[in-house]
Amino acid sequence: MIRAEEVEFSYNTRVVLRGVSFRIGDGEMVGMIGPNGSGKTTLLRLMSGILRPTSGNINIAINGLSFEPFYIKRRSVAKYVSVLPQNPVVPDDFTVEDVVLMGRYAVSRSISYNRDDYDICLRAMSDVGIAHLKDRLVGQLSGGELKRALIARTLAQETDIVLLDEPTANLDIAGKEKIMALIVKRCRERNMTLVVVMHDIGLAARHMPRLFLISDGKIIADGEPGVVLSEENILGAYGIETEVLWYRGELVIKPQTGNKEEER
Amino acid sequence: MSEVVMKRRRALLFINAGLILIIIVVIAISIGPGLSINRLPHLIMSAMGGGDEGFENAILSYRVIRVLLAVITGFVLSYCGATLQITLNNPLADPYLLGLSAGAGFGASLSSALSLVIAIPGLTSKMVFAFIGGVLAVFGVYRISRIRRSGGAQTIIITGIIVSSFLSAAIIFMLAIAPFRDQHQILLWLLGDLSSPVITIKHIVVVGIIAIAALVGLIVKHRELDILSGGEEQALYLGVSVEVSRRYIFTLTALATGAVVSLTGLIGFIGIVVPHASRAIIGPQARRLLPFSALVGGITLLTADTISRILVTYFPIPTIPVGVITAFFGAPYFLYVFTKGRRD
Repeated sequence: MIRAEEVEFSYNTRVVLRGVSFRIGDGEMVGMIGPNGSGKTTLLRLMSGILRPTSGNINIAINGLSFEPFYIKRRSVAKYVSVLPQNPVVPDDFTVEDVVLMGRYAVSRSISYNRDDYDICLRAMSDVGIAHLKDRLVGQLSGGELKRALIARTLAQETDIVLLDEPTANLDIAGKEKIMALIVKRCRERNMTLVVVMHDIGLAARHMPRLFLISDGKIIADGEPGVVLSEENILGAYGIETEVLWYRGELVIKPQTGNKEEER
Repeated sequence: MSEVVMKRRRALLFINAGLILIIIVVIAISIGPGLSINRLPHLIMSAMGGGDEGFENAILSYRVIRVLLAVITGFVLSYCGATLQITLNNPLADPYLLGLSAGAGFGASLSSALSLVIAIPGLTSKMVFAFIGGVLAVFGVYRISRIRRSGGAQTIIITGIIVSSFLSAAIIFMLAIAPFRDQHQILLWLLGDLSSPVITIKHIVVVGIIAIAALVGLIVKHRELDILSGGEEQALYLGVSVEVSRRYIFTLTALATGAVVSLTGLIGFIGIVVPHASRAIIGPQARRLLPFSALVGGITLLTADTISRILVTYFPIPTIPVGVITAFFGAPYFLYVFTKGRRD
């Protein structure tokens, strides 16, 4: 379980999060949506423990173990929480397998990776459909293949909590749908807790059972997509008029032309 | 299947590099006046049997020391360069960039200019001051870069450059106030020189042990190094405590580089060029790149030194600092590798 209580965070004087509280249960899947600069990525970094809340606290409880991620060793955190950052840098000359193996660092104790690590990585790679690219250099991959490789690395970490920051950015529509479906499937199978920062509201609504709508450093709506994505909420967060429609049981958000702010 | 082929290819590369190194060592020892190659086996035999061949033996031992020093120095500068390029995620990083060269240079010129003495048996004061200066400079750069809490790789590099230029000014000042007879010595040291007659086999053994120990200490952390090459944030997520790792890596590289530099002075370019070339050949993984860079570095510096020795016999000059040769050949080669890499 991830629990946040009145979390505030500011970079120097700029307040990014103001009084964020939530609970995410084991095996739950949450999509975080909201406009650029609303604090989604910061919240993810706080959950992963590379940032410390200015006030309030974030607590992670797994298997009877409870900790505040900022205060424990990175290696220990990485055993329970895996993170795919927004724009990960990977040197061009590593092979896909090298990159995926990095996910095993926190878990395997020996000086080198062992047979199990290689097996787990191979499974993760075939789960995301890139096992055939194992020996390919990262620099030779397409954007979608690279994303899959990095997701494989995150999955190979085999953590109970998975935090992804825009895993589908820069992918085409087919890539987005496939990758999201695959992540959700894998997390559901393993009962992993999944938190994904997403820009595409439609994609979030289709794949995530629960959404946080974040605006100006606060969670302004939390719940099922149908509840969170109301016309008022979207207007409140993004400042744009939309028409929310249901089409064959799926949510469709149709933006209206013209910006409310500008009209005023 | 392809993995097996790759493994075989890599093993072959290591064997080749090792053989080339051995060949060049033999050439380097046998080349030059006063000693011919067909006398070598006899001399080695007699040296082992405690025989005394006088003049020839003296030349041999001088050359062996010089050759070993070149190889060890090339080793250390190269694998330390490779390590720091990985750790700081920057293709231009090497121990010199972190202030080591400027610190060691300042230490050496300070001791010469002011005739300061730290008496440690078997070591000259210049060696001691250079070592202390180099290690302190790296330590200082690291500490200063930590003042800014967000101090990442960029901050460390910028701090290194600033501290280095400050110390360079101090070196020039020391040169200016140094007694005239010492100025040439300081200059030679600043350019890097393997011909120092004060170095004995004991120095070589000590530095050799430090070099190997540091290399092993770094290879043991090969997984962290690989992860660090993807930048700090990612490394934290994957479970590497970036600060702890960096401190460990900087300590080992500073000690090893400080040790060789204190004997040879500032030999440039090896620490940048060799890791690049090696990486293009063997790949980016630290567990292969570090030992391979070390071998290639040994080959490169020894070749450069041998060239400088040959040149000296043909030109009426007393000595050409090996640092001049490495930069003279290293810079064009670097440009070649760099532009070729761009085209692919």
